[in-house]
Amino acid sequence: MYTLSYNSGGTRICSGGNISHPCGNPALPEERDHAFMRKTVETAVNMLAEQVEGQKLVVIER
Amino acid sequence: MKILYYMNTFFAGLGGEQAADNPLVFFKEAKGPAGGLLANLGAEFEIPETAVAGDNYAATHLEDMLDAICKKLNEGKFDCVVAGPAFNAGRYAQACHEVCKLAADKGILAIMGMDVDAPGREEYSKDCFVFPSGSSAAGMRKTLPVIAAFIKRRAAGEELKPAAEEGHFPRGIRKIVIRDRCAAARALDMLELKLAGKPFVTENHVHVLERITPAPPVDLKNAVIGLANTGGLFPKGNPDHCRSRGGDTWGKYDFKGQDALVPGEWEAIHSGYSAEYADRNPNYIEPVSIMRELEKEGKFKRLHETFLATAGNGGAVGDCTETGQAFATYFKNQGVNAVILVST
Repeated sequence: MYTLSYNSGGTRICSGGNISHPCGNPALPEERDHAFMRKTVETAVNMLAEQVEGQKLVVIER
Repeated sequence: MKILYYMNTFFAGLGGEQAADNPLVFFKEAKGPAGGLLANLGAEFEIPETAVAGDNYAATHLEDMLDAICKKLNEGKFDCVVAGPAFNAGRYAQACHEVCKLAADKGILAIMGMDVDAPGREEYSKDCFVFPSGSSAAGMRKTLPVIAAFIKRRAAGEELKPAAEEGHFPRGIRKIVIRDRCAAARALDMLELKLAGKPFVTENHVHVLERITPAPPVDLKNAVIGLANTGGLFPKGNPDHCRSRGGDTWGKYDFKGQDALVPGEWEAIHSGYSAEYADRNPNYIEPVSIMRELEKEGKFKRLHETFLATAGNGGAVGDCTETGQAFATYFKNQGVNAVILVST
């Protein structure tokens, strides 16, 4: 639903898994789910340290 | 006039969240609200097919879904597409908009319904005709006749009137017309009414969402980071009795000393998505587990050990703005430098 955040004016947006599990993917084996969670959250944390003009959207590959 | 109607699984009577992953299916009948629209239209109109997809499917397989609908529109020679109404549902409104935009780009009359305060309404109104529906399905009875009347006027070839007269949200299109009195005279008329405390109608209603200037970046090594979510993740039992929608009630929840949120101690109270995965692993909604890993690795200085939670679906812009400001005030007072807000 990151497009909704973008249309609503969010300035730093990172896509996630799915509406019911935004920070992970339960369909993946545990190790890969953890790796996906890690990638999503760490990307979001890194964005806090970036200079942003207007809006920035990062789409994480599921 | 031949109409293709798009709706989600809930309104097609196939199930709510449990059917949200259902792929797109075309039914050779007017299901759910399509039947209601047909009853208001009359014999010269037909809705031979209803396109139905789960909201999750529409969000995650959008390209495939639009390809199939495009093919159906080409083959079926439809004159009009109607979608929704989506009321204040985020995923559903987005899906309706995408279907309508596809149709509109092909020159097909495209109509959807949604609530005035639902996110995306202003953007969607630029691409198709969006009719106000109210925030819940209780608005269906009033909305369908208005949409039906609009379709009839279009089928009769009547000239399109201003949005306020036709009943849909403004599309941002300006048409030059000759008025009977000059602008100065009309402005003075409005002023006279305003000074007398009488109602008047503005000719130029501007309603835009506030655009926020991005906050400056933080130095992660010295940053205290806070967590918040709009996924309605609350302690088991929802002790603060926060609502499952609306974004207007919220709570503060400690996880001091915990390396991860423990399943069974938390639950998702949110009427907009299935809580199955969140209940199984609350870190999917509030990623304390990953943030703790990053904290221990020195990625940032410290994780603030209280997160804020609300259930954001169906929230009026005003209520959500107020809650957001309350979140910001709390975090600022706690010395938090940056926040990760997880949204479902």
